[in-house]
Amino acid sequence: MDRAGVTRRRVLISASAATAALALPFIKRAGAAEDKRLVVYNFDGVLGQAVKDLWIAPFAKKNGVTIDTITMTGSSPPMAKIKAEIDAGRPDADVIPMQLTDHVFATRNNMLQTIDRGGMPEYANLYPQFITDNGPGLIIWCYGLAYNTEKIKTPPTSWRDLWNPAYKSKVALNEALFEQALQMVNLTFTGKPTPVDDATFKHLGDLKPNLLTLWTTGAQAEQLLRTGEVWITPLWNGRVFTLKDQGVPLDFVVPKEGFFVRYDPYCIPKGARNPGLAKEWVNFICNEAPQRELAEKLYYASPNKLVRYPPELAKRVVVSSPEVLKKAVTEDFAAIVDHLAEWRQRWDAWKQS
Amino acid sequence: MLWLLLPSATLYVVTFVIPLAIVIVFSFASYRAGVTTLGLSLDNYRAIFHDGVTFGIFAHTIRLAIVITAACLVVGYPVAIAMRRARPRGRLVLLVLIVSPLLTSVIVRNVAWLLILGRTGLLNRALLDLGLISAPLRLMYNDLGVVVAVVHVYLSFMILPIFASLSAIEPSIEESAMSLGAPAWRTFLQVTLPLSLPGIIAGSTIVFILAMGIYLTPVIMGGNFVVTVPMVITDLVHNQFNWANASALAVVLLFVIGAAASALNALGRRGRVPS
Repeated sequence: MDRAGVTRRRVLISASAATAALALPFIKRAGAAEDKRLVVYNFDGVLGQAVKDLWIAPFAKKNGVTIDTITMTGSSPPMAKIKAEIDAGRPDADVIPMQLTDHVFATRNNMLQTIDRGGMPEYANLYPQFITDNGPGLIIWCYGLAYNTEKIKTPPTSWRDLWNPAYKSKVALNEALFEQALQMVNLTFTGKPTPVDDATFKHLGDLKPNLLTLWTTGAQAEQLLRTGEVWITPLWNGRVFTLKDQGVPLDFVVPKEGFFVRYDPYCIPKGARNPGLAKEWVNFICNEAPQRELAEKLYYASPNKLVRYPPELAKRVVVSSPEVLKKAVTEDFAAIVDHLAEWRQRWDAWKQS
Repeated sequence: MLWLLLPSATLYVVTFVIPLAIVIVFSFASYRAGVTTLGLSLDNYRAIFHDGVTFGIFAHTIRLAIVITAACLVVGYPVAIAMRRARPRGRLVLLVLIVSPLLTSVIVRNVAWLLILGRTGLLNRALLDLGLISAPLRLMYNDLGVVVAVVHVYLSFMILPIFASLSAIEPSIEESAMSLGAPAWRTFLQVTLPLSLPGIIAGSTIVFILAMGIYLTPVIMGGNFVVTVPMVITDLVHNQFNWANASALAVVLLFVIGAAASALNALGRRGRVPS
C-alpha cells in the first residue's frame, strides 16, 4: 500500500473534521439564537399579518433577531394556560397583547412584570392614558355602528337607531362583548354606561323583535352584513372600512351618545425568558413609523402623539386627536370584571326569556 | 400480561385521570374578584342549582340532547334498514353519504346551513317563490336550527350501530315469522325491532353523549340564543376566569352524562322488549 496514500481511516477523520467545520457556524448560531429569540402572541387574520409585516419583521431584520409568534384565536390569549405556565415559571411567550378584561385578571393574579416607565424612551410620545404599569395599550379599536348603505338610506346618528321598528329582525349584537352591549343600552337611555340594572334589561327586551342573532367573531359579523341578513350592528371601525374598501355597501358612524374604545396592552409575563429584548421590541412598536403604518393599513388608531393622519384617514381611525378621544365612553374594567358573573347570568336569563 | 396494558394505562392516566382530578379539585375551590383559592367549598355546586339561571340552561341542554337523539333515531333507522337491504355497491354509496358530514369542518358545515336555512336562504326563497309562505320563516337562530345542523352530523353515529345489529339478525328468523302468517309490520315490530335494540341503545348513547357537549353549533346556528352547558363552561373559563365554577359545572355535566349512559346500558341489558 502506498505510504503517502489515502487510507480509510484518514478519509474518515478528514471527513468528520470537514463536517464539524461546516457545522460549527450553525452550532454557534443556534447557541446565540437563544438570547436573540423572542416569542410573542399575535392576532389571527389580517391584523395578525399586518403586525407580522409592520411590527415584527422590521425589528427582527434590523437587530438580527428571530421573533416567533403564537397565534391567538378570537383576539384573546389563552389565559388559563398562560397562568399555569407562569405559575410553573415557564411562560411560552415573552410578550402577550391582552384584552383589557384579561389585563385586569392578569394583574390581580400577579402574572405580569412591571415595566419601568423610565426604561421605555418611546413612552414620552404616547398619550398617558394608554400607558399601563405592564405595557403600552396599542391597536386602538373603536366601536360604533356599522350599517348597510343600500338598505339604510339615512345614515344612523344614534345607538337608538338599533331600536328603529323598521329594522325588524335586521339587527345583531356582539355576544363576545356582551358587557359592552349592556353599557351601550345604558348609554343610549341614561347617558351613562353603568349601572346595569332592571331598566337595562327592559330596554334590551324591547330590542328583541329587531334582533336576528348574536354574533361572536368579526368574520361572522362580516358574513351577516355581506349577505344582507343584518342591516345594522355595533362593530369596530377597522373591520368596516376594510370591507368597504372591498366594495361591500357598508359604512361606519360614531353615534352621538359616544363610542367605545378598546386597546390591547402589550405585556411581558413574569418568568419571560428574554425580558430585555421583549422591552426593546415593545418600545420599538410604539414608534411613530410602525404605529402610522398599522393605522394606514387597517385603520386602527395609535396612542402615539406624533402620528399624523390625513383627513380621510382621520375619519377612519376615529380617535385621531385628544379632542375626539374625549367623546369615548370611560369604562372601568376592574368594575366590569367584578360584575361579569352577575351581568352574564342576567344576560343569559334575558336570552332565554 | 399486565405490562401489555402499561402504555395505554399511562396515556389514560396522564391525559384523563390527572386532568379530571385537577378539575375535581378546582370544583371545590373558591373564586373572588378574579383570584381562585383552593379549598373545600361547596358554593360552586350550590350555585348551579340556586343561581336561578344555570339549572335552567342544564335542563335545556338535556332537553335538546334528547330531541337530537330522538330525531337521529327517527331519521336514521329507516336508513339503516335501507343499508341492510341494499346491494354491496348501493350500501357503499349510502355509507359514504352518511359519513361525509364528518369529513368537513364544523364551521364549513354550519355556514352551509346558514345558506340554506337563513331568512334569505335557499329554503325560504323556494317557499316564498312557490307562494307557500308570505314572510320568511325563522328556521335558524333558534333550537330548530341547532337540531337540524347537529342531527346532520351525528346521524352517522346512530345509523352505523343500528346497521351493525340489523346485519347480525338471521334473515331466516324474520322469514319464519312471515311464513307463520305475521304481516310485515308485525314482523318488524315483534322481531326486527327488538333484535336491533342493542344497536338502538348503542347509537342513542353515543349521540346523546355527543349532543350534551355541543358548543360551536349553538353559537352559530342558534345565534347564541340557544345556550348549552358547554357554552357556559367556556365562558366561565375564557371570559370570567372563574375556573372553580366551571369545574363544578363540568363535574355535574360528566355525572349527568354518566348517569344517562348507565341508564341506557341497563335498558339494553334487560334484553328484548317483552312482546
